[in-house]
Amino acid sequence: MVVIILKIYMVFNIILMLVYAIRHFLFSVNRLLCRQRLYYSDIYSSRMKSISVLIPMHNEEQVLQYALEALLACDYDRDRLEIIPINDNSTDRTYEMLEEYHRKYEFIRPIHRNCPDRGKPVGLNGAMQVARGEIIIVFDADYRPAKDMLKQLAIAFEDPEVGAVMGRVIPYNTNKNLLTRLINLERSGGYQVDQQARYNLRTIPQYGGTVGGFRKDVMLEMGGFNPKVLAEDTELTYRLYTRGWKVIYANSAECYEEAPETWAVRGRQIRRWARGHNQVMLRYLIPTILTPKMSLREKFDGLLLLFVYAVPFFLMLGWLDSFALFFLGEMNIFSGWWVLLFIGVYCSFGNFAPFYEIGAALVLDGMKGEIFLLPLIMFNFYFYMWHISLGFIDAVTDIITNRKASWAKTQRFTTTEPQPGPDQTGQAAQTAQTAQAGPSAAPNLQPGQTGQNGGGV
Amino acid sequence: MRTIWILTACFIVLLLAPIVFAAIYYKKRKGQILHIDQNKVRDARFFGKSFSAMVRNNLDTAADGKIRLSREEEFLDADTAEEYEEVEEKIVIARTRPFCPPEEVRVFEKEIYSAQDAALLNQKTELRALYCEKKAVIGNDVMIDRWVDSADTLAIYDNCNLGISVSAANALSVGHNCIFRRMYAPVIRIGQYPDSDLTPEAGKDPRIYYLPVQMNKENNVRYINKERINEEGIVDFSVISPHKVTVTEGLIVQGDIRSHKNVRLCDDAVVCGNIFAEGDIWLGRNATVLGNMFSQGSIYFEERASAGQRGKICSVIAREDITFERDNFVFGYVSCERNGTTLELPKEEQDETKLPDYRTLDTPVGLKHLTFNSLYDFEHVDWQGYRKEKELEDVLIPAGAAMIQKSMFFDCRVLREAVLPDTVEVVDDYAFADCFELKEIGDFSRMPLTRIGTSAFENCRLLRRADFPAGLKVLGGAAFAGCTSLRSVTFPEDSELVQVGPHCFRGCPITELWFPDTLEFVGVSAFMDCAELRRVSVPETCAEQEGIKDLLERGVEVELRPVPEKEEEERAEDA
Repeated sequence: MVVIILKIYMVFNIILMLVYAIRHFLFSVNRLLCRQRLYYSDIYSSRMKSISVLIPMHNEEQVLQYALEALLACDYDRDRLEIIPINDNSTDRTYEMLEEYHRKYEFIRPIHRNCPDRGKPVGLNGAMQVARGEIIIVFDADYRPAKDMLKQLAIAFEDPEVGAVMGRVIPYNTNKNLLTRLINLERSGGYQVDQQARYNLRTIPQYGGTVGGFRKDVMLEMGGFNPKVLAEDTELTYRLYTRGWKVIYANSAECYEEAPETWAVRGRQIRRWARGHNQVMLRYLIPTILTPKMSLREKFDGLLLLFVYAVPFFLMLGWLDSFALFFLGEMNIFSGWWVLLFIGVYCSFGNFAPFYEIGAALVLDGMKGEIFLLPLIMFNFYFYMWHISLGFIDAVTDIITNRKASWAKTQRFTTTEPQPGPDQTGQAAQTAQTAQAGPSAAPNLQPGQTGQNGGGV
Repeated sequence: MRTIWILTACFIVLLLAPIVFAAIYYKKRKGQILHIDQNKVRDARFFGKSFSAMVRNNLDTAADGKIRLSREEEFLDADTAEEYEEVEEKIVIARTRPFCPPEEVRVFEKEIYSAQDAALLNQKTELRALYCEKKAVIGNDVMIDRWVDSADTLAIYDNCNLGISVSAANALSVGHNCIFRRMYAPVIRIGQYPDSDLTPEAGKDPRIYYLPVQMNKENNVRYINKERINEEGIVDFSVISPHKVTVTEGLIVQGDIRSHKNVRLCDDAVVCGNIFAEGDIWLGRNATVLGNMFSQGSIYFEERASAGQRGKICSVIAREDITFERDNFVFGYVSCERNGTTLELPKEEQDETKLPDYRTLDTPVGLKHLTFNSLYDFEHVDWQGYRKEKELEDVLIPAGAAMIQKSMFFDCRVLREAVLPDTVEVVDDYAFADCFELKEIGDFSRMPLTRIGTSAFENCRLLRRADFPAGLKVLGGAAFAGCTSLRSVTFPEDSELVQVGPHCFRGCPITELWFPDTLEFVGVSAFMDCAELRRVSVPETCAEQEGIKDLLERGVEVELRPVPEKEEEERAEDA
């Protein structure tokens, strides 16, 4: 009986891997060879909506000025713009610095929170109550939006079907070490191919929690962000889709971000994202299947997307399964033409489907040289598999024990100098603590996964 | 055994080789960081503006037929040139005389800069790019390789290839049988000549220009027909549909349309909002879309169909083709990824014997004087109001008006006079912000004002005094900031003012201020940069307010008056 279960699981695992592998091959082919859908960036309009830019902050004294200065330089009519930094229980000079900005600029209207109920979702909920804009745009404090970023994001809401929009993030500290080099590849694959292909195919581009925006009235009507969910961005994506709204991806709305520079920090980040994403998976699995508001293709891709942070766990179990079957002498599951399955699985396991996505993205981004680094992604793969599995177990434990997940921040390594561009490549970095709230970028996870904000795969 | 060793070695080499190569690459090469141009701002007239700025900035260096642009270039001085080559290989610069090249020149291989009018009327002329500081006219059968831009108006006649972009700061007309990719101007007449007297508003229901776009939606609609109109004869909702959507003849849709397939507007139909379609968009005769149009397929304009409205910018964007039949209007931007065409005139209307009567396009006259026929007209004005009306000088707001809506006259830079009636209760946020010339606004003290919104009069640099009525309770943030002539601000003794917002009087040359006992809140920087402020009188309950603390720190004399007990008791009761 045990052996039969092990064998059935093996077959399930193989099919699962193949499905994801095919999905990602399709995405790569779509980006390289198929017709691309236009984004709305070409639209000039004097009907732009009023926006509130929300910036969650926790001990951001070393970076907040760059974010605010960048926003002040943005090209957006000032009668339709306000900036709301959310100072969430900071203990450094964040309060004083924000007040100084408020002294200079009336439309920078900080909110100071000094309460035990911390976290990005709670902070955003509070800020939305006082925000005057129709559209909420969210940036993290260490981001530096380009001048036309606000217009690029806000224009999406001229489409009455769009509930949220997501821009693209690009690490600027790529050359810090091997990890940041590899994260750069993942980001490229995750956005340039994965998100854009989902936009092209009209499936589910994912809102990533920063460098994006959403409709305030819709969000308030839905009760705001759920503070119990760590992946509030992923949850927003599914909440919108199950209510008939769409999320769209703006590949041209690019913004620099800082990538984690140590494996320990990256590991914790990945584990937290996995935990949050799997919480969403457990909550939205049934609604996604049952909702009449999503098309069949959206449902199919939506389900695959929901499981992306569970698959590494299934895969790890699959390996243990194969060891068990091997030592039990029961590996004779297949024979004859079934070998094709094994070849397919080898292509998934051995070559890692996201390689194709990353490779395609690097070609599209004009960074062909970086393709030579692809074999090193293998190390990320094992690293992520472990941490995502832990995150999956965390999420399941949360559900079983009704445990409340606490908000955590990611250690940052930002420079105190103005943001380095490609020609400065992150020199002279100093360690600092900043609030990187909520789940953002998904890593290179499993066969068929590449990183982008919101854990998209 | 040896074979096994060899195979094992091969296996290990093949296994490790990619990793070794990758490691070597990592050590030897720095990673590439994708470049983001942090200062990039999209501008439909980018080509013309950047080229003309480069020329203007370097005209002083022009000597001996050479000018330093991005590199040193030879140029032809059109003001003095007596002869042109048939194929002109130099940049052409005309500074003092209108640019009108002789017939013999056939090709301009480099850019042309004209500080005066420009006329390229010779048939079969080819040019790379033209920038004109004033009016420009392009005759029949001209081929543009890159772009043409005018800082005033641009008229293009028939059978032209318009290259990548044609644009004008004020108005553009494009004749028949032309090919284009992008066009931009606040007013674009398509399939028309400059002397056309057509107007897009003629024959249309005037209500469509002030109906606010409705956001309430209906899903899965296929036909928008008379069964869906309200008692005013209007379809008052937006439509989101996975199906083809058709709007039947003459209907007004007071919302947006979003279709996952095609959208068709039958003749005379109107959509007040935007249209987004995954498929094609088809506008029937005289159909109108006041918002943006975006198609992942193609867009077709039948005769007299139009997009946008006067004074506002909208866009018509297609992933594939855009076709204009004739007599069309677009207010703003047109762009397609594949083929943009204006159709040929019908054969029966063509007269090949008639010589073309080339003329320039007149600069459109902007709105200078604004009056409203009735209170209804004022209250039902478009939600964007008259913001950024460049030429608006005076406005008369009708009696009975209770509210000046948000941003209604924002950035009307030459607005001098806006007479508010004695009925205004609320001046909403940014209503008159950046009206730098605004001098006359009426007497606040005679109005039943209760609230002046955020930045309502910010940067009205010529406002001199503000005598507020007793009923005014809220002065919003930066309400009068930057009013650099505002010297006198008064409140009556029975004033009920409760709140002075942050930055409220920032930069005003006020010398003395008295606030009533009802005042509770004074925001930060409320009196920042009020260099002449000598004395402020406030109730002592405001001593801890940020705006007052600022004053105390600066050494301004602040009288903190004790609040009479009676009032305190009343307040306590109210609380």
